[in-house]
Amino acid sequence: MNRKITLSRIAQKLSEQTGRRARDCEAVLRSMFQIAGNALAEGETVKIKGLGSFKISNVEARKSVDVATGRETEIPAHKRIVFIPSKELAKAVNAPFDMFETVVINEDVLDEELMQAEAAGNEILVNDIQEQIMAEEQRAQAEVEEIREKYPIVAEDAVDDEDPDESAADEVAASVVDADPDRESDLGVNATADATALAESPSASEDADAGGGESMRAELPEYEHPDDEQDSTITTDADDGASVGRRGRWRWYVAGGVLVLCLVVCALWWLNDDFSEWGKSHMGGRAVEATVTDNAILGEANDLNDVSAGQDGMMEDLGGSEVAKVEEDSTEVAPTKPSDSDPVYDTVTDTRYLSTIAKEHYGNFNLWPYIYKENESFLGHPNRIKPGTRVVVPPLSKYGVDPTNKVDIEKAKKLGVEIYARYDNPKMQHN
Amino acid sequence: MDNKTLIENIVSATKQTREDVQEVVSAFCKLLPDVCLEGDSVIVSGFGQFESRKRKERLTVHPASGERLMVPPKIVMKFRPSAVLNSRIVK
Repeated sequence: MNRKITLSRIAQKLSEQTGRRARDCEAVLRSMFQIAGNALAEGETVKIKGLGSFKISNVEARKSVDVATGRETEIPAHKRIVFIPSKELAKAVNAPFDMFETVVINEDVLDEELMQAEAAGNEILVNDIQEQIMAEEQRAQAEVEEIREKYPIVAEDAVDDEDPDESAADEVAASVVDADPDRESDLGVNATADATALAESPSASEDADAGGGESMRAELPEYEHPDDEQDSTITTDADDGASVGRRGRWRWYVAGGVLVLCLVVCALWWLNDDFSEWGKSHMGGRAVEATVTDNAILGEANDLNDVSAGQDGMMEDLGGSEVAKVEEDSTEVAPTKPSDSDPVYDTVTDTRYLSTIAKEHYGNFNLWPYIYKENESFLGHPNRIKPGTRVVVPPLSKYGVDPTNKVDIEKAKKLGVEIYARYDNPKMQHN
Repeated sequence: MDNKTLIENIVSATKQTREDVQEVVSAFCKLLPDVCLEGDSVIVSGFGQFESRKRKERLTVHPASGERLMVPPKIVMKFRPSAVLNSRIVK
């Protein structure tokens, strides 16, 4: 690659090829160029069969700018050597692009499409001639074989296949995006892999066509559109895919699909967290509602509806009436009367929160902070008490709290807020 | 100087048979594009360098018919004369 091969090296190769002595070959070549050079120095045109012709052309004087100073100068008239390769040589050197031919563009083809096609054409041209062109041809053929095996339904003619391939690829891509999150790991990856395989197909068939001898024509505009559509459904890295090369493009599709899946998983995880937060919150009206009905305090359910819907002001008022109702409905539930002598225990479960326990024992769920305080030593975040934790329910008299006193209820609420603050401040909560 | 004259000159210069000279020359002409397609260039000291260049696809207009054409990309052989040679032709 990019090496400068000397004549001696060439001569060696020639001697291997022709069987003549390397020395002789080199002599012939050197003599040839020497004679040619002499002729050119005389102003003569030299024509070498199979190579081309060298001729002297006159270049007129032209105005220019001196690059250093910036002032105008004139490039004087001079002569230069022009090399026109012979037809055989030109054809031989253009071997990789041999199958293309100049094509007439129809009137109805828009300039935009032409620009796209031109851009596509420029992309087709690779920087390293030998490696990529040859290798791509081989690869494309291998890929086409692979895909034909994989999708036997697909017709042999790659050009006609474009639309079925493409719509199938779109469907698969759509299924990737809409995939059921629970099955995402299996379905999603496979779907992505299939989509990328199909995505390869138009580009592979493009390569195959390049190697197969069809003219470029309006195929180039056509090929651009499938790539664009697929890129938009599967990944946003369209530009990256194109520049990376056909081989590497499918990797970007897979990476994009995996990224989408990760985002979906994360979103679900956060949502789950949210709901469990809600459930365990002592202020969560709906959840408390459910547990209250579970505990068969039917009469209270309606009150709680009102309570949870209302503002703090309302709750204050209703709290009083609610307490009154509790005492009235004592036939339904007998709140255990805490006494100093035997400690009262209760268990926190996934349906019984501190607030439910407070409601039962004290008649007001706002008084849960006192239960918390009593068991502070082993309780962490009030919303995250492990189900099955046994807590001591202290008598209210221990803290001097009167459940009927509005002021005391307010104090309890403040205490609750305080307790939360202890945990919510240092940690970053997603609420 | 046409090809025949050139060959004659080479024959007289190298004292080899015309057959040999012609075979070497044509073998060289066949070898040259192969080397260039690999990305290398052939350098002849005192004469110049043969290398390959890529040409991009382009849109042109047919001068006579006026129809728009899409010329495909191609690889061409380019010759760069050496400074020695250039200085010789100036005189």
